[in-house]
Amino acid sequence: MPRLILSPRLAASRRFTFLVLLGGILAGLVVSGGFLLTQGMGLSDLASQFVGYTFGNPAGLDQTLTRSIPLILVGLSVAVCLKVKFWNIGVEGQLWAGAMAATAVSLYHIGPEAVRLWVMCVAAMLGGGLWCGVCALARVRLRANEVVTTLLMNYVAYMLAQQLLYGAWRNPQDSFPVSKVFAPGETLALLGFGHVHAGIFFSLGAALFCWWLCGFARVGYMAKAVAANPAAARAVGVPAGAVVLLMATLGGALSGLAGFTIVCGEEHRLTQFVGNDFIFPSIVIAYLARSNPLGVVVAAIAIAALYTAGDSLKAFYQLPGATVLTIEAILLLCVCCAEFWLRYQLGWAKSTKVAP
Amino acid sequence: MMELFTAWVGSIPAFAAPFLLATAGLIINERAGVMNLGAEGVMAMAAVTSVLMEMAGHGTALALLSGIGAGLGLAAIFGIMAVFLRVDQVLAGLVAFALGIGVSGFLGDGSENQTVNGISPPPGSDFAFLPKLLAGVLDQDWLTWFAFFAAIAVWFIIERTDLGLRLRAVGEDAPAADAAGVNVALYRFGAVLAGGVLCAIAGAHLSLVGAHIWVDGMVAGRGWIAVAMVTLSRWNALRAIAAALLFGAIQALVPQLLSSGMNVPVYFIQMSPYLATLAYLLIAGLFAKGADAQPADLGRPYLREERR
Amino acid sequence: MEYELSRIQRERFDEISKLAVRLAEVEKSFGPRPALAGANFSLEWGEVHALLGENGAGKSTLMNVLAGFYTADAGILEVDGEAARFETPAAAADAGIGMVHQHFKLVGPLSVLENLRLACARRAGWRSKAEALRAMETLGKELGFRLDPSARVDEMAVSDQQKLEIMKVLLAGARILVLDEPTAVLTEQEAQSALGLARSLARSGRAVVLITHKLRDVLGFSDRVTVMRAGRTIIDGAASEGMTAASLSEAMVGGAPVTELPPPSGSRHFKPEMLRVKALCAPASAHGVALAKIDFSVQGGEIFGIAGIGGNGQAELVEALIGVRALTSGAVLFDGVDMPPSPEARRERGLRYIPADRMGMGLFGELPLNVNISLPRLLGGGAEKKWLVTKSWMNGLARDAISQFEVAGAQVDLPARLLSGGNAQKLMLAREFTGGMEILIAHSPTRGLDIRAVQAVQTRLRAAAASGCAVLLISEDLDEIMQLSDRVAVMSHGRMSPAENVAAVDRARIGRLMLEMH
Ligand SMILES: Nc1ncnc2c1ncn2[C@@H]1O[C@H](COP(=O)(O)OP(=O)(O)O)[C@@H](O)[C@H]1O
Ligand SMILES: [Mg+2]
Repeated sequence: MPRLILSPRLAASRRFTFLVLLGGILAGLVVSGGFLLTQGMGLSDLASQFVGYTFGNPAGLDQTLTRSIPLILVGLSVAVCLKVKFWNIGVEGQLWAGAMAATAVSLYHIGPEAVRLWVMCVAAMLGGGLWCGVCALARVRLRANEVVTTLLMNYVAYMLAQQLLYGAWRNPQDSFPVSKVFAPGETLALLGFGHVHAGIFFSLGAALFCWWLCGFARVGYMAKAVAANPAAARAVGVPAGAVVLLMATLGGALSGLAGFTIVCGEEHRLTQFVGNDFIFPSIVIAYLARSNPLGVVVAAIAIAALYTAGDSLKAFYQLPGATVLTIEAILLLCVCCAEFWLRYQLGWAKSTKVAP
Repeated sequence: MMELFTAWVGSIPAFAAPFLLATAGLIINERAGVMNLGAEGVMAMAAVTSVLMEMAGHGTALALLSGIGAGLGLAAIFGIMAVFLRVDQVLAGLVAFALGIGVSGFLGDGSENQTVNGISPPPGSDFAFLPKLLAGVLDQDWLTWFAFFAAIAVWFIIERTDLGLRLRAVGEDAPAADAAGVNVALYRFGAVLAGGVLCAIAGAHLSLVGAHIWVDGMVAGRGWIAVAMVTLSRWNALRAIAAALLFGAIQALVPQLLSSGMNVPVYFIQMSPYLATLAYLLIAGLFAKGADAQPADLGRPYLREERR
Repeated sequence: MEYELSRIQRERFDEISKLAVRLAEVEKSFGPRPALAGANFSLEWGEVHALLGENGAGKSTLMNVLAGFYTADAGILEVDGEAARFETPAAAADAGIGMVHQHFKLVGPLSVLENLRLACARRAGWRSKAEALRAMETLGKELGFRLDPSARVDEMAVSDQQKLEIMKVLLAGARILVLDEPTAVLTEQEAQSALGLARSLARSGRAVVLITHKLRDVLGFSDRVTVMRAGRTIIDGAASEGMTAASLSEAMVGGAPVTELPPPSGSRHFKPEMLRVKALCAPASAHGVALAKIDFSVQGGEIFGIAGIGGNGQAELVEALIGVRALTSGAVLFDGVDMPPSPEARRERGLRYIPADRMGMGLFGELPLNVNISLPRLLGGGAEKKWLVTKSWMNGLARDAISQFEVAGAQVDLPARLLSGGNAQKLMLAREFTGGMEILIAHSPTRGLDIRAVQAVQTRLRAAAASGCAVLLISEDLDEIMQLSDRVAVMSHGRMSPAENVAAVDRARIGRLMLEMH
């Protein structure tokens, strides 16, 4: 009787890898589209929402680009951490930490006014870096599982921000739980296209930096070595712990920077909602981009477009807010399942001779 | 003041029960070597489904059962990904989380904030003969009682039965379990399903016992907390009772404080269990204690002919 | 000719009833390279059958096919004269086959009794812990040893873990026992008693396969011997009695007589002492031994050989030297000054290392050859590239290495795990023999390689010494040590014998030291 057997695949060619990924994404899009069709949308509606509005219309494009600014940064954050096999599911906490640090600089007038914005930027990166760095340190030194620690740090940052917003930082004028509005010199300039602000240069710059770091700098290669084989990396003299610490701290700093772009570019103050809904998108973006920093930019814009479309679906078709999350989940599900074929192969067992 | 204290203590078990159920479920998962980050999604699916069924007039029992069914379906998707397709467990768990939250949003769309009967403690106290504080603690609905018995049962099955022995072997050393004739994939998948049932009951507890309504975002991170509580309870379902009571106590405290009008740093208080868990993780690491409690094969897929 | 064949066939047919196991023409590959390419093996009831072969010959793979861990791609398997095919280890166990693996299949955090219940409860029909305990005691008496049923397995000595494994397979009802390199990790007395036990189990009517690559085990304890090489059977079940060490080792390593390496050319001048290890003590690794007061020194231009059976502290010593294992006391000096503690700093001082486990401690299987080759040059203060590491630079290095070290079948972007053993080792050498090498630590550098690769590696080691390096050669292969080293010491149980000049040393005495120092 022929039998199916599952065995590890030795090597997948580049072309095969690409095809599998593409197949996964296409499958995800088809399933998502089918799902939306069951929710009472027509095919032409789908096309006009997802292609026409998100890219073809200035308002939609504005929204998409603005949204992609922090998404690129959190996607990079997860991607950079994944380079050393460090699961960063704490981008929200790091983003909050960055936003709070930047706000503190504004509220307490730290540093000369001329460079205040830059001080805020550095503070945000320090805050985010610290938030992720302690988790990396705990993993390197104490073998604490980073999935759990980065997760918990989300809540710590969120609670801290709420405590501040309802307490010391509450706007004295109207006593809403928001901070005072930043001074004009403390915000990122608008670029003259809707809400798109100078934060986009930070995002693209960060992507270029990460691209260089991971692909052309020594550290990038050390990270590859640590991810591939930590014992061998240590034996050839790669300071494995330091590399993990560095990459994770950098990842945290990128999320902190995302917090900076939100408070200084969009909200111009700390609000209760600056750090919501980033964890899953960041994972999806990094994963779809296969942790390639330039790929992250593309994936983040695509996901931002999804959010834009989601908002209009909500407005015009009364679809719930969960639409975007559902589509993201379906996409990631299909891509993960497709990747199975990169690592394993299913084949028929060769028939065995029968004993005489 | 005493009133407040009694009310607080009496409300702790019902606050703790969803944590406890979910944590016990995740302990089953992790003792078999599978880390499931999808608990939040499973809970949401169960919470919304059971409310919808109850609203449709199917009665509480059927509502609970269908909630379990919905959660189980999502757990099965996770299990197929993590166990059979060998997708990275963190990733598979995140997918299950997002799918559960997303789909539950769709299901519950338009049915939010509608009160259902759900499950309530019996009217009048069964324990009126006891001191008031104790009676308050014991006067719970049956699902809350179930949570505590379920945790004890999970502990007993894992630590004291042959089934539990095989489950632990699979989580500690899959090749050795395989050599001993245990079907690793089957046990892992079974553990995912069993854990999924408990997480689903946790979700149904939230909507049927706790809120009596469905609101989007109602699970509010409890599934994530359960993931951390597994570590805090060192993969032991009895210790999970203590951990759940700690989180439940803090959660129960907040509404009491707010209604009393006292000026206290509410968010700092809410932060404390997270900090406690973090501190515990770090201290356990310092004394190398956590290392022996965590199942050694947690997160590692197994294929017989694949080199490890 | 016809007549001959059919007579043999008839005899075979008569024998079949006596055979416990017959494996014929078994093929199995992992990816493109075959691990078994038509292997034969037959096992009779009541015998101890030695299965001999170099590392990587396919011994474990063949027995894993028998025990249901691997499914063969092709071939015949008969147990007790009947065709069989095992999809799972459990199915094989049901047929009475029990295997004690090279790396034990015990659940570390569980107790002895729990491990036994896990594996045997169903087959032995135990319904309670008490029953299991009784069965364990009875068998213990029979076998002549006792284990604490409540002891945690990962806290037990290796020899006790092995006893537990043997109990496990016996209690599960095994009549056919496969012991995969049972003596590799044991002390001499322990090995003797384990082999004795194997013998008495066979005499009680079972059939025992003894996988080994030690001639002594074959000549002293087995009835018949099968020799494998490169996935094929070379000697198929010959009586051990007529065998000599020479004939067996020839079968193991290949038909052609092993050509001696030419003696080192020219006169050797040793430079002053470069590496000195002073009273070094270090803790044991998970399944290893602790180091106790290791003392030796290596001069520039010298090959210092450390002989000894694997698992006697060699791995710990190497780790201590390269800087990944902390010392409890003692010192490692380089040119008279203390070595810096970190592996990266030691590397920068000129320390190079060829690990015993190439894929585990040396190469990066998932990364392409060009990254594998260029990584060390990216590290430390003397890094060649700091800000811009280009593909073309890496490719250049990799191409040079591939041609210089004759790595066959390699492109620069091939993942290292796809190289065969010999070529992976050449890649390893190419990476380590980069500029600035002053001390070379080679741990079992020729293990599992074919004869040509062995010679290539050995020639490189000599060349390294000739160029003034201090070479530390750690090997289980006494021939290799004697052939290459200038001085030799023996490691046993975490201790080291005083170094001796190889010209003056008595080989037999070294052999005794390897075995007797316990
Ligand atoms: N699970 C596996 N995956 C890939 N390769 C394997 C696996 N098991 C064995 N091999 C390869 O098969 C060959 C034979 O190995 P093995 O049977 O372990 O040799 P031996 O026991 O004789 O030392 C080696 O080249 C080894 O690398
Ligand atoms: Mg072997």
